Amino acid sequence: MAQEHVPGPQALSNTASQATVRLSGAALVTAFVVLAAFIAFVWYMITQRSVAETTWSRLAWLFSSVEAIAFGAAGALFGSSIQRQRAEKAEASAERNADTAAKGRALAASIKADDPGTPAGRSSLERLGPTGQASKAAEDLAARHAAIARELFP
Amino acid sequence: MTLWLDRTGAANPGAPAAHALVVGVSRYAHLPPPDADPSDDPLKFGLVGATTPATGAFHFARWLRDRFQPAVPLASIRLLLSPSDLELGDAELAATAAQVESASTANVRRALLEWRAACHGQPDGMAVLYLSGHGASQSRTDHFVLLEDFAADQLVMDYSVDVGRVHRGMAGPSLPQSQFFFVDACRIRPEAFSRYRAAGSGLGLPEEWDGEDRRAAPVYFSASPGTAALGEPGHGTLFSQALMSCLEGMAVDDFADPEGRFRITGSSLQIALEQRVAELADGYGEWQEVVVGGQMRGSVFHYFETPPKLPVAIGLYPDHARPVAWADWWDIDREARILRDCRFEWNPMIWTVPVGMYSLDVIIRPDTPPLQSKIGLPVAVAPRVLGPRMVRLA
Repeated sequence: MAQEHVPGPQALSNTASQATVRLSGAALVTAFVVLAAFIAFVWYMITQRSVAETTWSRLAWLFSSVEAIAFGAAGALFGSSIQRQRAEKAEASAERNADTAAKGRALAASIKADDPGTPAGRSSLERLGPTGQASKAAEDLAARHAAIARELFP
Repeated sequence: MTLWLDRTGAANPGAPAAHALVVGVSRYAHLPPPDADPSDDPLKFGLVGATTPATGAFHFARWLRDRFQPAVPLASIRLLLSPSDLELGDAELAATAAQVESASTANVRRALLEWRAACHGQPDGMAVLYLSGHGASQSRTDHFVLLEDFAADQLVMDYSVDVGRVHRGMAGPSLPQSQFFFVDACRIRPEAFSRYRAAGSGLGLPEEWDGEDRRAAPVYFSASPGTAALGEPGHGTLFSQALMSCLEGMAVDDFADPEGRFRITGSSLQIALEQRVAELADGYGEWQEVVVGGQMRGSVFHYFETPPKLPVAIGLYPDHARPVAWADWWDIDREARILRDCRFEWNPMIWTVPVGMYSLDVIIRPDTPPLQSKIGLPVAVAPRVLGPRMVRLA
């Protein structure tokens, strides 16, 4: 019987882990510093709410610039957590599907091996008598199933 | 036809004798070759050529010629072979096939009539018929073996042997009252028989309307009704392989006759054949079951010149006695030692000895308390002994 490589659950799990990017080291510190600076800037803006209109306009313009940087840092921090949760879910799902896929591939290999059109699918013993249409129909069915299996799992 | 074995000249004229007819058909002139797809013609039953029946028939005929010891002298063997190309790779079979006639309908018809004529007037004689090839059944009781020219025309069954007609045709007080039939073929009903009311009729023998039929005439079918007979290319059919094992010793009857001769009887052959064929088929994950039809009565098929050898297993308890245990085999009267100082290389240990009763000594040497030697244990070496004979030494 032909052997087929069927990836195991562990292999799929590793693949999913590689897709998850976690912040760490300098990037993580920088993100926290940027967010702290942003909160401080917000507090400063609150204290300046009664200044002249021209000054407030200039501060608001600066705030919008800082705001973009802060949102980027927040996205990097919280987005990686969200991504990790999604990856873990995908990993669990892949493990379940890998088991089903392995069974499917094994079934396909078995059907292909029993294809009456191949030498392996024929019994090594000969029969000394009629085969009959019922037997022929069964062989045709087995051949059709083997063809489908070959198409799905070449 | 030319006899393959002719000892009629050696026998006293009129003295009872045994006559055998052996037919093996693998080559079918009007069927696709063995590795091709079957024909769509329903009257060809989905068949292709075979590669094993002629081998089986040849092995049986060779055993008859070289080893067969019936109650009366073997006078003749008629052999008809149609081997496949694969089987012709066996030089001995090929040389024999070149000497004998093929298993065509005309040849088999003539051989059947001549075989019956040779048996006629010999009620104390023996008749043996072995048929092997593709088979077909018209019902659960009507079985046919297809001959080399099967399907030469639309009356396809004209090219077959009707087993029932031959068996019935061998009945009568002037024919041997000891007959053995071996039919090695499938017993499946082709679907064409549902479509065609008649498609010819198989060869038979003249049948009497009535009269006594006291003969022993079992028919050993290689397969039960509705099932397939199987063959192992290069080695013959499973039935023929099993039959050879049985005739070499497996089928020996449990008891010798009053003259001390070991023999194969109709019933011991049946039991051994059923067991051996089932074992061989099971080895392939398949299923095949020998059944016996015809007329079973007490009869002897074969006498062994010397008791056949069979395996016997002796087990030791406890197992650690094995390195210090030695076996001596004596005849049952302890007058002659058959085997001496035999080591137990395994536990249980298997020896192959002639069938019969023995006296066994298992000696502990050197002394190893608490193990104790056992002297004069009766051991039966018979074909159907279940499990090893256990010897308790402590």
